[in-house]
Formats: sequence, structure tokens, C-alpha cells
Amino acid sequence: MSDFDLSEVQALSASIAATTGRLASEARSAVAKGALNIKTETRQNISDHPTWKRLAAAVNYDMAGNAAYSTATIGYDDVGQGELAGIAEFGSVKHDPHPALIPALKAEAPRFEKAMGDIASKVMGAL
Amino acid sequence: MSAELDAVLARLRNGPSGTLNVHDARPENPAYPYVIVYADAGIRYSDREADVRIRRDLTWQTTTVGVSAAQCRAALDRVTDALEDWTPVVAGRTCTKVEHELSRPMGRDDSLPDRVVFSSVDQWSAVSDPA
Repeated sequence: MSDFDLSEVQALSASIAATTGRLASEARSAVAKGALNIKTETRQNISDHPTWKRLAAAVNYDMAGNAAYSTATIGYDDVGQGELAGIAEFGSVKHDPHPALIPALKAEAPRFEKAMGDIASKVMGAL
Repeated sequence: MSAELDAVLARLRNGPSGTLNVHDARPENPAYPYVIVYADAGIRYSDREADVRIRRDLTWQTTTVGVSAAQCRAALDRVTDALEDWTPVVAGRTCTKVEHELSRPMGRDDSLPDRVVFSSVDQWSAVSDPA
């Protein structure tokens, strides 16, 4: 019968378990920060025409998730002028489109990718 | 974007499923059905180490308008037949196939004072590189 020293494997296992917890926490912070940035930029992108003066306040986001994943849903609250957001974003036969949300999302995408990459590097480096 | 936009406009005007009235801005007295193409300038960026910004992301929106739901739907079929699974051909450039990014349900539009129309919004994208 042979003896195997598994102490390093056990240490690695414990380390992975610990860093996985950190990863979820830091990823959630990055998702929240990204969602906030998109919300802020969307509000800035909205037309300053007096017709749409209450639309910016309708832009919000909701966070969801658990220990394993994090999501953010960003968009217009379906109340007040937010109910007309489709006309503002996509236009109508009388109004030209004025996209605010998708451009903000596209602008944030590279920053979010970098943030997630930095988190992964940091966590993997701690193993 | 202007050369690529010209290719898109030409394709919509004479697509595989028939001709369409196509405008690049909201028309004053349109013949129905019609399509408006709202295009941005395209965003130029680099995929090179030296940061030479030659690749361009192109996005545009089509707003298809008809005086009845059936007319709008028929025009929308021509739009999708023209752009889906199609690669813009532009001298000096190589484009990707057009991606259909978004399609909003057709809806009734009561905003005109003298008539009811039906409209549908679709968004499209492609990437253009030097040939």
C-alpha cells in the first residue's frame, strides 16, 4: 500500500473555495458599477427637448443574482414619461429616433470587460 | 459609412422580393408603404497593435410604415428579405453579413392628425474593413 501526500491538493481546494467567494462578491460590485454607469450615461444621452424633460428620471436599474451569478436589468420604469420611452428611443412616424440606452450600453461594454478581466486576474493571482 | 449606406439604400430599393420606397430621413409627403433608414456615422476602431483605426462598426435602423397592418407587414417582409443573409458590396471595403440586431413588434401609430398608420422598427449592423 502506498501513501500519498494530498495536503497541497487540499490546500488548493480550500484556496479555490475561498477565492470563488471573493470572485462572486467582486463581480457583483463590477456589475453594479457598470449598471450605474449605463444609467448615468443614458440619462445624459436623452434629448434635452422640453417634450422629454421627465424621461431621464425614468431610467433605472435592478440588480439580481445570488452567490453564483449577478445580473443587472437597466431600462426605463414603465410609469409616467417612461411609458413613452419606446417613442424616444426608436421614434415614430412623427418623431426621429433618439437612441440613449443602447449607445450607453455600448460605451460601457469595454470598461466592463476590463473590470471583469482585472477581477479574474486578481483572484487567480491569489491562488 | 456613406458608401456602405448607399449600398444598403440601393439594396432596399431593389431587393430580392421587390421594390420599396426608401428614404434616409423622415419624408414630407410619402407614398405608402415606405421605409426610413436612420444611419449613424459608424464607429471606427482598431484591431491592430499599432492602433490603426480602419475597421468600422456600422449600425442603422429601419422604420417601415404602411397604411394598414397588411401593407406594413408586406413591406417589412421585403426589408428582411433584402437585408438578412446579405453582405453589402462596397468598392475598396470588405463587409460582414448584415446582422439583424433588433425587431420590434409592428404597432399602430395614431400620432398623425389625418390618418392611422402602422409601423415597425428594426435595427441592423455590419462591420466594414478595408478590402
